[in-house]
Amino acid sequence: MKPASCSPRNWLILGFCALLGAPVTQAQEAKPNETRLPQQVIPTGEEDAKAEATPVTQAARSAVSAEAAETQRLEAELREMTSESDEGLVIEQQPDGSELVDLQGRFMSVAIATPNADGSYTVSCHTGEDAAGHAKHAHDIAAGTAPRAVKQDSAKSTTPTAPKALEEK
Amino acid sequence: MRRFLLAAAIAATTLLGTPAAMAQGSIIIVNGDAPNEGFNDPTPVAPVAGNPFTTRGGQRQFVFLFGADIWESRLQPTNDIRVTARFEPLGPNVLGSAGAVTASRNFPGAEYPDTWYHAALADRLAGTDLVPGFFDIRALFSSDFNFYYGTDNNEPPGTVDLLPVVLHELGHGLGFANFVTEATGSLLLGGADIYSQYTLDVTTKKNWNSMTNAERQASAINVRKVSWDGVHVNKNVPAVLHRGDPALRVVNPGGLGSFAVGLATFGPALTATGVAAPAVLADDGVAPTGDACEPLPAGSGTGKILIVDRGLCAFALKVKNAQDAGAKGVVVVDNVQAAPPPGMAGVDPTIVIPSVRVSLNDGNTLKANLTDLRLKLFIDTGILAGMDRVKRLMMVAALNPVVAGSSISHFDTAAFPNQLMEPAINADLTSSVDPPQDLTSSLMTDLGWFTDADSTPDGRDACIGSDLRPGVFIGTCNANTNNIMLPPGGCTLSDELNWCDANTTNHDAYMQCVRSHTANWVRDWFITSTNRQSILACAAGNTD
Repeated sequence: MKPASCSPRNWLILGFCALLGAPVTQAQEAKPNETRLPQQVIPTGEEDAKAEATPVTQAARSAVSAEAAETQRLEAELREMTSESDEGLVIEQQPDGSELVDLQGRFMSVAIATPNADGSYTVSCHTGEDAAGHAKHAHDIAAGTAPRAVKQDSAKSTTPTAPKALEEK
Repeated sequence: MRRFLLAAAIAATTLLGTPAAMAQGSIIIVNGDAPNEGFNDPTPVAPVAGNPFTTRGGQRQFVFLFGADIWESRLQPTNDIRVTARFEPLGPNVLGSAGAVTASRNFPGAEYPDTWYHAALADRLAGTDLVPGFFDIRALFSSDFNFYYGTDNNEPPGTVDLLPVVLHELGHGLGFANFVTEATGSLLLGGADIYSQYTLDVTTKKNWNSMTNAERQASAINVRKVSWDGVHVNKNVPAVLHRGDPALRVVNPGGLGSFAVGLATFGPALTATGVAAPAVLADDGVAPTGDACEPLPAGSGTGKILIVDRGLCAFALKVKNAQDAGAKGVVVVDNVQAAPPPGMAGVDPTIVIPSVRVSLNDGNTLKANLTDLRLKLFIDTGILAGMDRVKRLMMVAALNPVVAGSSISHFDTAAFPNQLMEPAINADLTSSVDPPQDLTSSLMTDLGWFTDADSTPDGRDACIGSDLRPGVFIGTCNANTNNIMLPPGGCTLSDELNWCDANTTNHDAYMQCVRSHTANWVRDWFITSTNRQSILACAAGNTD
């Protein structure tokens, strides 16, 4: 039985599942030193061979690459939607003497949900190039990968090391 | 008047629901989703408060139509507004988006020349669909996010209420937004826009359309000094905003004034009386010593307000450590450039002292004036929550840095009660866009959604829906007086007389109002004494 993430609804990795028959739950157990995969799409071939590929690691790469590619695509879409650039926009003269510009899907406002420590969300509206950055930050918080600061001298601390609150970046 | 179009059926104008007579337009949501996706998602779900549909797609349709109906009933568009809408994957934590598809300028009915208007608003002012075949608004919402599809604004934990998000984003598409690149100050293709016409920097006293790019760029981060200069928003501000603005006042040394503060979700609320005390830097003895992440020396804060640096531990822990050291209050200084200062989240029921957060710049100002520094944390009841302190106008959201989020195209976060069009879409919002809950419809009025075509731009026009008949009539009585437009514009003689009728409770008071107005008009040479006698005679007979 295939895992749920290989269901037809999860179309991003469907091809990978069908091709390899490898459960994603296993595929996600990639070697810890393969941290560059999320940042780039690696085709099969030389790069894979150098990494001593096994079916499992190949599966992991394919899955992560597909996810990374989809993430990049969505980020690119978001940047385009919230772009405030007028580069390439054209003023069209209308028969009644008025002027029209097709905004080409730009100048849109975007609502983003940032998770709070109590499970609720803070919803904020963004425009401009920073919207994608804010969405990534919200996702990092949700995924628990937001960077956290470390006190310089914790040796003298009488406070046990505790997870930093979400509000403290 | 519910409408929902299938994209494929647009050409045949197949409507699910019947549009009204063409005298009034509708907001038409055009379903751009493929079968079994988004609005057509057949996943069975249980009906939820106010939403009777039993599929996810049906519930999404219902919420969109509910939001569209709120805007439609309020704006009463004269032409159909077509919104192309889809639910699709938008990336993690992205809920949805909307915006105008096109912008127009110099069309018949435009209140300002050479000024860009959002498509739907331009159609309203022109009284016709200026760009047939184009959608007016584009909306994309997330098919992945766990939305709440009820209409009672009572979303359970872990979900986001879809309705206010739809209302908010559609509001942007309807005109509540500029076309400025705020990071650089540049205008859309070098042209002014209608939203910027009423965006006033109260420091420079210039509106955004009158500025250079550099001036706009600077204004975008002139925190709490950029306001909305339209008459209808500001007329309704007293009916909507509550009195009292949280503030930190520098009591000594003099001349530093008051600083904006972010509030904590823990500890007691600030009061009008407030807490006033000498202020000193906290020192926990562990580098960096000013963050109060470690217990402070016993008694080091007794009778004082402690100034604490943000970072490295939770806000509540800093305040608790200060409280344990005897402090009366805490000022947390931000460690990044962010103004106005955001709030401080956290929970600790044992905290009994007030705390606030100030911007990095303001915090540095405090640190540079530590000698005999004395602060007061309080609610300033001399001002409405959301008004600027210079011209007492409703503020829009100048944020510093501007890239921290969408800024000027929103009301300021200081507004209380929270407004639909603040940058944060708060959980306590109602679905109202009108006073006394909300100022959004007032801003739409300023933009021109209710134009009376009297040649005075609506944001400067105190009399929307003017009586523009050439002569003055009181009831059916002809006062034989030209119904001129009074300076500075927007109100005719008849408008003023109608105001007397609507705002007095008995005939004597009404006649006193008419006598007073007409005496002024004679004095200012707007009418003759003969005109006045004629008006008074008609008014005397107006006993309805």
